[in-house]
Amino acid sequence: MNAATILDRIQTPDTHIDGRTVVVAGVPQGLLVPSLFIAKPDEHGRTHVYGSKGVGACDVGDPESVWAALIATGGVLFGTPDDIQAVTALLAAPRTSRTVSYLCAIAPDCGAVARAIARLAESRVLVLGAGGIGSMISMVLAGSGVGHVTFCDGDVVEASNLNRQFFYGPSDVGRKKVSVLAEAISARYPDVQARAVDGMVDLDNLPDLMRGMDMVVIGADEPPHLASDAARLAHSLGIDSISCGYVHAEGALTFLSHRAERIEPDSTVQWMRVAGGAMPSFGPANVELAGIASSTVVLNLCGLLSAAGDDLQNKWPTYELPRRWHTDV
Amino acid sequence: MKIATGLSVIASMLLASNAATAANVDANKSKAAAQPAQKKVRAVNVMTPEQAKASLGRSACVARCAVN
Repeated sequence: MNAATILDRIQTPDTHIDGRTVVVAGVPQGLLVPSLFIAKPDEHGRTHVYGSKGVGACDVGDPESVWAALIATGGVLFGTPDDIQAVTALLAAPRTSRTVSYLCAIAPDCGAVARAIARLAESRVLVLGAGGIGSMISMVLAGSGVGHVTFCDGDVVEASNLNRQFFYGPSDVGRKKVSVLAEAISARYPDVQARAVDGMVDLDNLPDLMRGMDMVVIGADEPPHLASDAARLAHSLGIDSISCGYVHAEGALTFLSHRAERIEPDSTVQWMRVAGGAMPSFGPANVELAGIASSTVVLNLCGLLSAAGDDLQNKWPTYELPRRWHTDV
Repeated sequence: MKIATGLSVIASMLLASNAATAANVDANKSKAAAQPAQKKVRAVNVMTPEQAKASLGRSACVARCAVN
């Protein structure tokens, strides 16, 4: 018995599933979240429902049991008929479907998902650095639906960059990174305003670059005080920031909310990633950092960072998971 | 199986869960609405770009946005 069959069997005369919409007495009540997974039942008819909030066991022969598991595990995202319709349309649109799928696993209801997508489209993010981390973050944010992405870097593409800076190709060697990146983002997402700033950043131009931004991402690591200076500047200007990088095999992310009363010295989370260590410019480390940083930026812009179980101020229990894995190994 | 409202137990369970979710979202909105006061205090402290630059205590830092 597969998931579709199980879902078919739990429908009743007054409760049915239309596509992924749960309808009660003719009125839409919620959506089955896209990440929902129902395991194959065992020989006793027991199965496990994997929702966005956890895993629950149920009896496939008892519809009430299955529905209870779907509700308890976050398998159903509730909402008003209008919000359900809006999220259904966003899920059907290729440009937004994957971001919405992700948000459906975190948002408290369908209305929050619809509002989050609208907020992303209006958001403005400044990314410092267009190397292995910054270029990927810029592209991911554009793909996520962030409407305005500004990135700055003074470097040209070098052949040694190609192992980890995937939006630059051999024919781009010698060209300005920001120019190539702007072309790549615009070609893929013409609806995004991609602004390239070619050149060095310093204390004279950083405040102007940050003006009007909703968030600043620091993906450059030279000189060493850039991250702290830029984060403090952003905080002073009332803007949230996140910086990311790594030291040898340790990844590090620092999120600083503009609401933080003071800049906490321990606001950085670090975790060991690769057993035996890895050189700083080894590609996979960039990919992971960029992925986690991008997700954090998107959730923060959507106002859902706390909904993901993270402390807006400093601590991210979620990100301790990789460290535990490492410890277990 | 029917309950007093005429709806099945499952239908009632879904309606109750939807209502509880909406109530919880509303409660969080109210909680968030109470925060602007705190945010306002913070906003008073927001500096101008010139003040922010001066607060760092250095006249200039040339930052090369490049590696990685």
